[in-house]
Amino acid sequence: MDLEGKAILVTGGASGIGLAVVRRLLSEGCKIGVVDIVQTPDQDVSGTGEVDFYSCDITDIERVQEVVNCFSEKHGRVHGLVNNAGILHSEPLVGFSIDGIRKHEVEAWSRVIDCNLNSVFYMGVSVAEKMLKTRTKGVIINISSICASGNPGQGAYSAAKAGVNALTRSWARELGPMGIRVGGVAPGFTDIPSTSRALSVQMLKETVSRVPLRRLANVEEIADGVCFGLKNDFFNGRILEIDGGLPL
Amino acid sequence: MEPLTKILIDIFKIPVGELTEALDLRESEFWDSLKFMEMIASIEEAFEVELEADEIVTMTSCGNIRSMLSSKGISPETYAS
Repeated sequence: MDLEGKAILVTGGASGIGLAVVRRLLSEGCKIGVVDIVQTPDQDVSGTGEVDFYSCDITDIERVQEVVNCFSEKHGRVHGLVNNAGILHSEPLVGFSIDGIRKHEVEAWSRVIDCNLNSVFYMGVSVAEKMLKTRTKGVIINISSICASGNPGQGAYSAAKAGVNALTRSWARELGPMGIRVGGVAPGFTDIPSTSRALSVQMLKETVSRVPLRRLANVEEIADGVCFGLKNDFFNGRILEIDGGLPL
Repeated sequence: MEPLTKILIDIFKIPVGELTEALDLRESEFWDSLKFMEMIASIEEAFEVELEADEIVTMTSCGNIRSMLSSKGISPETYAS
């Protein structure tokens, strides 16, 4: 897909990988709708292209539909969706604490699944409906993670991302005949604040030492992958891993 | 076999002789929503046409599809070019 002038929604576009994706797509001439839970974005990118900001809790299906309707009405159609928003959560299934055995909190499980998997479904179903109605041969890119194959201490997050991969492959086959492509990008450990919040300094050091390239990904490298997925018309139903060759 | 009939029979695996003009695909035992998407893609390819969403929702039977294509000046009896 030639990105010039295309209307693309990016969830979690106010910071981190999402913000890098927004900047990259604006530089390609896209019209962007940033969907983020924050009320106002940290950084104003409006000077670099046509961008609208929608404050939205993407675990709220009704609000998601409002936002998709609004963006679609403004641009006539939706050409693309980057499902990037999510939360990182680290908690083992069970563990020992000073009070005895500590179990993974059910509320935390639900919140991780809601934010990382249900939200992808809500955005996906709302945007795909618009694409079908307007017969737009659009693209959906889901941001997964290398944790999708399972990562100790991140069971809920890993399960959610495995679900995202399954949705990606399923939707690609369902929507392909209508000319709608669906692909995924699975970043490895990336140099963003949530990574340093989730890992101690020592764990981060050890992680970096396991990456063959001996560094974290930068957000522009992940945005490159997203851009590739949007542009390449034969990329479909696959998850592009951008992890520096890190074996999990 | 004419192109439209062949597409419907091939995609929905309808035994020859059971596909009538009036057979409501969505109510029939052969219905499958994913195959319906494939049918749309095959019809668009075979007749070199792009169908609108409001046209697609009327495509419930061979007869309806034939009428819709005819209204667009397309002959369901022959492949495009």
